[in-house]
Amino acid sequence: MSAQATDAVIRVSELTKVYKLEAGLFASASRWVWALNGVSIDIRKGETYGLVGESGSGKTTLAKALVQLFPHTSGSIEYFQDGEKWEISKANLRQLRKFRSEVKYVFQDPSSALDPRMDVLRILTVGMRYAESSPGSAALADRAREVMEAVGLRSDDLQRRPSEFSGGQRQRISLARALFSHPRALICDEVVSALDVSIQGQILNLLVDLKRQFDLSILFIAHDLTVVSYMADRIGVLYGGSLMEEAVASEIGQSPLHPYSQLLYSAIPRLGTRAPHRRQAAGSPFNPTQPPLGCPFVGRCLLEQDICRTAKPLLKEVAPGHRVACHFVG
Amino acid sequence: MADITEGASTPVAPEASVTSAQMILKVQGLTVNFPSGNGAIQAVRGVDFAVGRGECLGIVGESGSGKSVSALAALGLLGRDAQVSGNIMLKGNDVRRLAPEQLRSLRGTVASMIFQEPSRSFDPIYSIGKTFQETLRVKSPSLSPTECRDTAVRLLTEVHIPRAEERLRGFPHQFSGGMLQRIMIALALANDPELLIADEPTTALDVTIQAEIVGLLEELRKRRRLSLVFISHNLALVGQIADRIIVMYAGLALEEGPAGIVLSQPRSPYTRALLDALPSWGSHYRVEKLRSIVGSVPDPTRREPGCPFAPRCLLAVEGCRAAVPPLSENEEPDGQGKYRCIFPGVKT
Amino acid sequence: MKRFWSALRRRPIALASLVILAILYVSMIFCEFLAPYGPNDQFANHSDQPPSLLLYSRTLGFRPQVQTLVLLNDYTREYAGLEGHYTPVDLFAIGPEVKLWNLVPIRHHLFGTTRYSNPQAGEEPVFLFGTDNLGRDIFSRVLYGSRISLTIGFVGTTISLLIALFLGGLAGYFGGPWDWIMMRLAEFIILIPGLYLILFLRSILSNNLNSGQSYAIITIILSVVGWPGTARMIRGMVHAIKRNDFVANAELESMPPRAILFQHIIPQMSSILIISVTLGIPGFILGETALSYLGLGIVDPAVSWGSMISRDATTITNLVQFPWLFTPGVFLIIIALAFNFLGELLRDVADPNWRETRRG
Repeated sequence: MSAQATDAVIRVSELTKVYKLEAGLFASASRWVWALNGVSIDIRKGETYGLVGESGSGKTTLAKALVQLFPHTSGSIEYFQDGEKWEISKANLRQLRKFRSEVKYVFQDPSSALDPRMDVLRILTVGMRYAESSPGSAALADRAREVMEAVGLRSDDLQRRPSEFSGGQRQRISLARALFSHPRALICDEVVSALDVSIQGQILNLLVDLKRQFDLSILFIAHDLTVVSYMADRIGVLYGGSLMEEAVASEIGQSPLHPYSQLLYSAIPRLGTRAPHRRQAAGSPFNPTQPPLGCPFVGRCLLEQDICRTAKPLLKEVAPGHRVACHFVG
Repeated sequence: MADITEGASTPVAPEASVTSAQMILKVQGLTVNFPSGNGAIQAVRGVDFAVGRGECLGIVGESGSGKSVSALAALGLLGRDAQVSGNIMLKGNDVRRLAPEQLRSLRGTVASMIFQEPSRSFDPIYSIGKTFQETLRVKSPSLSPTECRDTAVRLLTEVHIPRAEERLRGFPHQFSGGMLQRIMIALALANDPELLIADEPTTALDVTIQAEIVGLLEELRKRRRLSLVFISHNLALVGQIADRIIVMYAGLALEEGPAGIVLSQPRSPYTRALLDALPSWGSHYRVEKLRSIVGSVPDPTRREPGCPFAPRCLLAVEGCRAAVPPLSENEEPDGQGKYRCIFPGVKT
Repeated sequence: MKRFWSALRRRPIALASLVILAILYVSMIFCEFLAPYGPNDQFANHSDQPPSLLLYSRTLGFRPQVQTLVLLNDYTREYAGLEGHYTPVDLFAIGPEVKLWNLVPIRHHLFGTTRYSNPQAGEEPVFLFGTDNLGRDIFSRVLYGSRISLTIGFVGTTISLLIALFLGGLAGYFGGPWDWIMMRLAEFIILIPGLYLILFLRSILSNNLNSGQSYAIITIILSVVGWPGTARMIRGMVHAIKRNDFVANAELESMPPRAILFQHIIPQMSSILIISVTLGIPGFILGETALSYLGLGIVDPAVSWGSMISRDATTITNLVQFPWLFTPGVFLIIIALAFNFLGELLRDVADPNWRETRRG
């Protein structure tokens, strides 16, 4: 698939991240953690890709590897810009800077994402002063005012410190900061999870507005499936470092095909329903320190057979735009 | 506000369906203040609730609502710097008047509590078996290690932990969050309490595990005729298990009633707004916007007079900010609901 | 800032400490004016004299004054007052000419016996804290000595802190082998008992140093011995602060590591650093005292409290006979306690989790 055909902004292919469990001089070299195991997804222009998964699924690892907060072990992350494409881990300094200014990561925790000792103006502009061609402070201050207004805050809030704002407002500041360098894509990692329920809606609405206004592509990660289903155009379901299913949001919501997706979607507490019948305690939850062999959902799957333990199911397109990784689907 | 009158109770109409004698926990007029440098923090400002035998009460609220503090006060678990007033009756005992040893003997045997972060609720240097031993010996100090072990195995099996005997030798860090929470529940049930209070027990857990834990609690409730108090900020989750729901905001109860009614025909605009604020199943951003609530949760150190939700309520008028709306009874025949609002049930 | 003042009001001891320190440091700056005599002015017939300020006598009534003393017994150095001979003590009296800060010549001092401008003339000098065996005024010596003792703490701690910031900051931020080397080095130095290390370093240097050189040498030695402890603390803090999302954010904005360290990470530690300095100063002062006490620090004619103790207060007999010789020791105790109380207050104020509750 060429870049033009699918209009991808970021293409992840067979991304794998393994890291050593112990650190230090005397650590044993034999314990590894397979956080990501051959994940391939596309984030397309103007779309929101929702990434869903529980703890240990690798969704945060994927998000952080995307912006190269740490190097990945194997696989590739390609960035498409103006007809050019480059592999991020092999990018030169100029390309990396461009990538970092166009693809921004928005952190989850509003209290640790902002330097508590700086005022908002400084928070927004301090990083920009170190670019090669840094515009003057006046231009930076103007831009700061612009982005603050775009997220629904006032320009005189620029003089205040993070501690004077509520959690929701701080998340707005984080978004303003992400918008500062005119990005094309945002990686939103659990951006509303730390907020009160009554505030989450405000931030989600804001995100939708910003997306429309600035034609952004968004990778939206959350553990609340209802929120992801609302916010995303397509959804990818991660489990144990591998992609289990991927499809248009409504399709996955109405008829999940992968056994894990089915389990996940049936576990969502829905208004008007009562607690489901008791299940056996999940057999063995996914253990990331075992070398990956077979399907990661082994031990919890109702359809499990011998083949699941030895051969890892490949991601197959079982319907247009709908991929599933299971031996017994499609 | 902090007037601590010994044992005085505010008169309240008796509950129609369950008699007072059957109430495991009965709280009336609970107020909790924490003195601090800038004036007291009014965490709870006058809350009533009761739990009958085998009943599940859900307490829903956001941060600063006072839901956790209420639960802690009910079991007398607040520190000495908390000023608690009101009537707290635990199986007929006035919690505030008991001596510390009497209170301690009630905890674990009449009522237990489980908390949000299972990994932080265990002493990491003790094996699970040892932790069980410690808990069981609180009620029966003369139990032998073998008896403790057998009881522990029975409890772990009851919460569906496979290979229970093997697990007793394990240490907390070897278990996942979901497993630890099950063990926590088993420990809480060790001395056969009649009431279990669960404070955000699944907030730190994955969605699939959350469903299992909620299912487990429901099963235990039925099998043991256990009374349950389930505290959470997630309305839909509480709706899965609660018989009655009380919705708290900024230290006050804004609505209370049977779960079905509260979730489908709420009287309080706050409950209504909470229900509307998060996306409903099947909605999508391209189709409709979320009906978010403006403003933010009020600061517990700065309590304004009047209805706490007034600054954010679309129905608010001058009178709402003048005084806290009184708790009014629901007049409909399905009754037993209360709310604080002068415009109940109005849709915005 | 507000928290500081409100906490200060609630802790009278810390407030008193602050006041005392302020007085001592201001006195140090103006010591030429405040001291009635020079540190090495000897008064021939007044050696080992007890403190001589009186407030009342029948002759002159209620006013500060001094009685003329006459030596009775040369061996026991007993003095007796001469009946009827009293000299008043005046404010802004004329005394020996000295240069304030070595620049401005002055003749007036805060107090003195006005007519006593020439040590050899007949009027009686005033000794607030008595004299030593050479007839030198202890009060003046304490004041002049404070210049060395009080400043060596600041200078030494600052140098030590700068070294610790540099090494600890780099180790904490970059981690890896750099971190490992730095920390092992620090631990190695910590392993060696501090006092022996100080003595060792001092002894390998020449014994014939003038006072300026010895001041510098002492400062350097103490700084070298002091940096590892602070460096380890800083390294740990940098490690912890680095984990915050705002540091990752700064990296994602392509800020160079040096800028991240100085603009984001170090400022988070500023209150801890202030406290570290405040609590470290008494240690340095006592270190200088120890060196001088052992004869390896400040030597005559330069004056420091440590050298004064070393000269005069080393035997029980001396202390029993002439207890006022222990005055510099008293001042050392006061300084150490004052810095400790103040440092404790600063530490509590800077701690974001600390709240002054009624229960305390």
